[in-house]
Amino acid sequence: MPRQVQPLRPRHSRPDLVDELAREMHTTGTSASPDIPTIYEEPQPYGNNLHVKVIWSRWAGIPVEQRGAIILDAYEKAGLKNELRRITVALGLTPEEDQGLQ
Amino acid sequence: MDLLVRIAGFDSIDEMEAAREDRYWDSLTCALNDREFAACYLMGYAIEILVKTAFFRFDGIHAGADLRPSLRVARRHPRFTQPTGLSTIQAHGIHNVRAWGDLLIDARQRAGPARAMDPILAGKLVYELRWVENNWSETLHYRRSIPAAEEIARLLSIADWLRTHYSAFWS
Repeated sequence: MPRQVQPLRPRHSRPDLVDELAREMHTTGTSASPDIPTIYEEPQPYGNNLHVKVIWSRWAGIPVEQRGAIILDAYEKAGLKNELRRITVALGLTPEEDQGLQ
Repeated sequence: MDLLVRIAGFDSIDEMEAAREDRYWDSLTCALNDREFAACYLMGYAIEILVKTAFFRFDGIHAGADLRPSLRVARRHPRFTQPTGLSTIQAHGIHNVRAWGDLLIDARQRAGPARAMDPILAGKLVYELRWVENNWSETLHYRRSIPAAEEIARLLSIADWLRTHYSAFWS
């Protein structure tokens, strides 16, 4: 079988998650429920870049690359174009994964 | 001639990439022969070497050049001496794969938007290297640990993903 390279920006079929995440991007504070995404934006000390981590129970069953694509799409949908351009890491984790990967 | 004399010389990207492939196939051989611990131990080194050489390739170092001066510089980088990253993390050892991954992502974003790593690829890299960090260390050789089948499978899967995307990490 010939060697296959997976695309770096995979398509996803979850516009519902994009919509939900985009809505949450305009709220502030921390969420008590794992069903509500918590978005961590970590400004980097140089280059004006952002590392984004989204903790959300609804990531379960979704490959990590698709979670990243959903996060970027949500920033675009939310109209956060300036932030979108600054993102250099987009990482989606379930609460359990976040605990396990500390 | 003794082995250590025969292999004497300096570490270079070329040498380390060849060593990475040796460790990778050694590890698979062990996994297929029920030597789970050896399989995990060797595959961790294959992953560590891969992330290191990706960083040095991005840094523009000639593939045949002596890496020792660059390793000395890297060892003093804040990623190895200070708590950094997406979560609280203590200072790293020079074998820490996550710190090397962070260093690579840092270097690429510092080089400007055109050379920054794709944020989705970077997210996946952070995700996988965090798992490796929690399940592999060069100090495993002091332990009589028995990795579970799912841990071996995960480590091999991560190594395959890293090998498949190797050039994307530095080019």
